[in-house]
Formats: sequence, C-alpha cells, structure tokens
Amino acid sequence: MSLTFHEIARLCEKIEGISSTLEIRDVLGEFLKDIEDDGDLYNTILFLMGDVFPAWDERDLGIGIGLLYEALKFATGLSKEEMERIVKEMGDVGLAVEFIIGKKKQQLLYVEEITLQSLRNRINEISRMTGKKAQINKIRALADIFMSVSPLEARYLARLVLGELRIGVGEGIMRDAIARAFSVSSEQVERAYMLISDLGKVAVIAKNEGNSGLKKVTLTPHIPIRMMLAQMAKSIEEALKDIDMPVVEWKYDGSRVQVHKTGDKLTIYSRRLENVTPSLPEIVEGVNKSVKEDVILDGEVIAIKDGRPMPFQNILRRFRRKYDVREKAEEIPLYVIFFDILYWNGIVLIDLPLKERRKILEKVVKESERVSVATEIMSNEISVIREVYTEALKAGHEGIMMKNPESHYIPGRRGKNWLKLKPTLETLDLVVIGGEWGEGRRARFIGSYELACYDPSTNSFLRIGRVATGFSDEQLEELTGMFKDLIEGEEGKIIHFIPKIVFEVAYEEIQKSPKYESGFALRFPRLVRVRDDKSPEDADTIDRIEQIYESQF
Amino acid sequence: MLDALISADILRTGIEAILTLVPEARFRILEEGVVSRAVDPANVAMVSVELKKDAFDSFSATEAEVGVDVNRLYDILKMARKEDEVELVIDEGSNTLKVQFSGLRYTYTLIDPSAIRKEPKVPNLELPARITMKTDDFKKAILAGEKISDHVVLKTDENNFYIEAEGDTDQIVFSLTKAELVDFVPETARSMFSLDYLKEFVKPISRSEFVTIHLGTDYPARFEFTIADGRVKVEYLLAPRIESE
Repeated sequence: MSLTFHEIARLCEKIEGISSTLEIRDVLGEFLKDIEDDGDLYNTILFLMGDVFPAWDERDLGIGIGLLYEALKFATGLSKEEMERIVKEMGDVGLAVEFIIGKKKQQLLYVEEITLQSLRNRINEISRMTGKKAQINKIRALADIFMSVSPLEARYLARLVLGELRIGVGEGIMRDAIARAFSVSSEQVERAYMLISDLGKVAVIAKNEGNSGLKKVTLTPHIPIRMMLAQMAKSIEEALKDIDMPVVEWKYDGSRVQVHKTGDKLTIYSRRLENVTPSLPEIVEGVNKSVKEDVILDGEVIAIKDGRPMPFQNILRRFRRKYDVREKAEEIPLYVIFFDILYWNGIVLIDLPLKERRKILEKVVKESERVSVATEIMSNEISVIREVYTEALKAGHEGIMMKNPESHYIPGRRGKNWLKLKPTLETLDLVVIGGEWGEGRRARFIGSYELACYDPSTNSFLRIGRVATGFSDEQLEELTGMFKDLIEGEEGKIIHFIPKIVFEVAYEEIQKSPKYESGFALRFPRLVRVRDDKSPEDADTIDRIEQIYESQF
Repeated sequence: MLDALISADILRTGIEAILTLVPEARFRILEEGVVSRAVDPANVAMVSVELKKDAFDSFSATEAEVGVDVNRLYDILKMARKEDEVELVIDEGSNTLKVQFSGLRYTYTLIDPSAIRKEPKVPNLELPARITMKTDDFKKAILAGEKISDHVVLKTDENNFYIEAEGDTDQIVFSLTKAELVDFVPETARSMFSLDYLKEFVKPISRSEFVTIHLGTDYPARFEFTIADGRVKVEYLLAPRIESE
C-alpha cells in the first residue's frame, strides 16, 4: 500500500509549525526512515521540496492560478471573483483552497483515496496532455484530485501544484534529513545530488545502498550536473592571495551552458539546468561539427553583432523561444565558447586537475565558425592580468575569471578555486510609483514595487522596472505599512502610489525595453535600502540612465 | 484480430460519443462486437459504447484489448462521406489500426492500453424513475438551460418530468406530461447535473430519435440511446451536483 497524500499533508502541517531547522530535519529524517516503497520515498522527497519534477526535467504540469480556479469552479460552482476575494481575505492560496473545497458540490462516480502513487500517475498524465482539449481535460483531472481529498490535503495540494509549497524544507535540510534517515554522510548526499540533480533519486540510493552506493554515483550524459561557480574577487591583488598562479580567462558576457553529447544525441542545459536544446539549433550543428567524441562540456553562449557581444537579454530570449527558432537564429546569431570538460568517452574527468582537463578539452574540440575554446594565459603578474582584464572589458565582456589550475571540478560549489573579477555598476535611486499585492503567503503584503526615474524636462516619472526581490518578511510588512497611506488607486492587484519614496536599487545591467516609458529596464533589480534622505526629484534622471546604458558597451 | 466493414456514419457517431469525454480510450474486441468504456478525467462521467457485430457489414475478430487515440480517429473519419464504407483492420503483429475508405488509407500505431486510465468500478445503481423522450425535446431543454445557468435539475413526480434551470434573476422550466413522454416509469426523483457535460452529450444523443433517462435523488443518472436500429448502444453515466441550501 502506497503512502497516502493525507500522511504527507499531516507532515507538512507539522513541519510548518516548527521553527527550528534542526528539529525539522529530525522530524523529516524519522518520516523518511519509515518509508518502505522506493517510489513513495522518491515522491515524498520531491513533493516536500515543492516540486513535482526535478528542475531539469522537460515535463511540466502547466498549472497556474487561473487553471486552479477553473478546477475549483468545476468542483464547487464558485465564481473566480468569489474565490479571488477569499484568497485575498485569507491571505494564502492554500488556506483559501482548504476553505473552498469544503463547499464542493460536484459528486464523483467513484471516490478513491489519493496515494502518492496515484497522485504521481495523475501528475504525469496531466503533464502529457496536449492538443485542443488539453485545457479542459487538465481542469477536469485537477478537479478530480481536489474532489477526492480532504480540506487539509487540498491546502497543500494547491500549494504543490502551483509550485508554492514553501514549508521551509530546502535542499540543505532535505540533504541532512536523508543523511540521518539512512545513516549516510551529508557530504556524500550532497555530492551525489550535485552530480545527478535529483534528491529523490539520491534518497533511494541512500536507502538501498548506503554510503557505498552514494560514492558510486557519478555523472551521466544527458542528466545535467550543477555548474561550478565562482566567488567574486575584490581585486587582482586579493585574488592572487587565494591562487598564486591562476589561469586567466575572459569572463564572457553571455549565458552559461552545459553541453552533453553522446553519438548523435546532443542536449544543452542552461545554468538553471533547463533543457534549452530546441532553441539553439546553430549551436547543436556547430558542436556536432566540432566535436566527434562523447563529451560533457561547460561553456558560455554569446551573441555577437558587429564584433561585439549583444546584451544578455537577447540570449535569454533565444533560450525561451519555441517558434520561429530558425528566423531568430539568423537575427541573433549565437556562438559557444567552451572552457571546461567533465566527461570524455566514458571517462569522468571532474576529479582531474583543471590543467589536465584543459588539455583534453583542446584536443576534443576542433574550433569552427560557431565553436571555440576560451583563450587562457597563466600568470601571477598583476600587470599582465590587468591587461587581460582591460582587453576583456574593451571587447564588451564582463571581466575575467581566475582559476586554480590544480583544482577539481566541484559541481554546485562557489569556492575559492574559481574567482571572478568585474566592475560593479553603481546603484540607482528610483522613485516608487506603483506596486502589486502579493500572492500566496504574501497576499496581505505589497509583493513588488514599480520604479521610475525622473524626467526634469517634463517633471514626470518614467517607469523603468519593478523590484520584487531583496525583501525580508519584516521588511515587506514595514514597507506595506509605509506605502498604505500613499495609495492613489487600485485595479485588482495593481496599486498606484503618489510618488514620494525613493529606493536605492542595485542591478546587473540596464537593458533597452519597449515595456516601460523610459525605454529601459533593469536586469535583476534588488532593493538596497530606502533613501528617506531623498525626495522624488532627487532621483536619478533619464539622462543618467542613458549614460550608464551606453557605458556598458 | 479485427477485420471489419462499417458505415462511416455509424462508426463516427460511436467515436464521437467517446470523444465527448476522453481523447484516448481502451477498446475491447470481442466475437460479438466492439465495446469501449471510459471515464472522463474528472471522474464525473462515464461513457459506454457497444457496437454489436450486426452493426458491421462484415465482421471477423478475435478477442483483444487495444488503446486508440479517438481524437485522431475522429479527425480522419470526418473526411468520410456519410454513405462511405469504412474498412477497419487491427493488426496485432504491427500493433496498428488501418482505416480505409474511398481510396484513402490511414494507418497509425495503437496506444498501449495499460497507459490509458482504467474505468472505475461503478457500483450498481438503483435508479427508480425512467423517462423516455424525444431527443429533440431533450436538446431543446438543455440548450435553453445553458442560456442562463451552468447546471440543471432533472426531476419527476407522479405525472410529469421536469428540466429546470435557474439563473441569477431568471428561471426556465421545461416540463412534459406522462402523455407527452414516449415512456415513463413515474417515481419521485430529483438530481442536479452540470451542463458542461449535458451539452456535450446532446450532440451524439441527437443522432437517435429517443433517449432514455434513469433518475434517482442526489444520485448519478444514466442516459441511454441507440442508433442504427439498436445495433449501436451508447450509455452515459453522470454524477450529480449537490444542491446548496
């Protein structure tokens, strides 16, 4: 008998009531230890972390709040507006659905208790639904599940299908809970996870084969590996304290990719481990031309126009493209530059020193129109390194990477073996002119704020983006209180403020954007602090934004 | 395991009846004919279609169960003319279904039946009231109800059968007396149903002259009709909605 979803819901409720992470780990460990079935263990791990598939899996439930409302409408007869009102009143989708499902009216032909196994089957079924009746069939399948569960189960089910479970079980806690449940070491669990990117699978191995099984876990082509990351270096001098004789490469301004190739099969994963192969046909062709052996390569995809890299957003747009891929390939031509190799003809290379991996990389990749290998020099002379840095910036790239030639490839780790150096862009002071009420746990708070720069010529504020990250829960509450008195109008969730408060905002890049009146948008904006010393007219001007935009090239 | 000839019109109606609820279905091929039962993704409605051997112009079969993409099959059948003869060949060896009519041959791979959701075990239902009516009347009542609501109440008393819909500010009552019905087993019954389903049922039901409804109180209802002189039998089972106070 498979575990019931009811047991998972009870566990979620229990965990939500615990604030100590150590205690959560222990409760979780005890629960995992008693699971007999491998499938149940796998599903429990994923569900508790709020996932239905591993991040890199191409399958997707495709359920948003709109579809959920439709399913609940089917079950209860309540209108979308009534449900939205309940969600807002209760301040949480899960609690609202728990309440709503208590009003169910539609009966089923046959009621079956939802087990993890049956839920998994339905989830897989829904993810397979395509074609003209897919939408209605998804709604009905979802309605069936919700009509078969108790209100408590409905609370967590709603959060799960929306990808908003957030009961406080992150990767770290889950890793330690698995270690405790099956008496294996956390380090081994972590290592295995970085290599196969699926904690559910790791848990099943830990349960059945223990430490020795985990040690045997290795990377497999076409399953993405967590990428090794770099720490920020303050300066060349500082970096040389950590690495005496670094290998220096340009830090390309593009998007990180991991390319897996075995025989005719080729898969490209993004930094978030999403499969982006279909969007990059010219890279697929290029790699097939340049690489004849079975490999896993680490590199950067860049867009070059008139000899200079195009802003990051153009690449991202290509990653997400599903239609007219070929036409866009001509408009935004992409190139790939490889700097590491993790696997070669059946041999796992990650425990070799970088300098050895690099030799293999150069042997395996034949450069062609679209494909090259990153240029590198080895030096500990500040002036030489500075020259590379200046060249990289002049060519329009981000800066440089300094890597320890003796280091192994450590998946998912942001360590001192890889250091990055790039100029930081100054922060901007921007006026808050609008916002939006949050969703789920944040429904009672203003979850995002709309930012504008100042145009002195017209004495108006021009929108440039929105900031939704960088807030702590306390800050959300505090800010919501602060802005409540400035509300000028509301339309649904959208709020307009009287321009009064200035945010200091950090960001990665300024991009051109037709979306906002300023003509610009910020990439990865985050709140640094509230500038209560500044008035709206003291905010950065549109001219200043244009200047910074130009200086990026 | 199946080699049969059937009129395009008959086959299309049978397939359409299934397609109202599911895009893929299991078909059981028997010596006496072909049967398919499927439950919709919400587990609210079930369809059962029985194509008896004599619904076919020629029929030779051995027992088997196959999975069919009814969505695609229906799309292909739409291209046939009413009077076309369709040849159906299911070949176990190649796991294919071959559909052939007026010079067109369409072959496609069958679906593994175990990948298609099994029909649920529906308990035997005691449905006291039985109403047989003209499908035109049924269609009229359902389409009228749909104008103002998303659900209707079906009810009977000793002398009448009613279909009622209630909107926010308006109401529709459609009633037929015992004399106006084709056949009537009067028994007090009352259940409410979603029009999402009923309006879908109307299309295949309209191919028949009469429809028979079995009704209870706050209980599923069964809708039965036949086409091609009783050689094709279709049944829908629909779970009720509970009426709110």
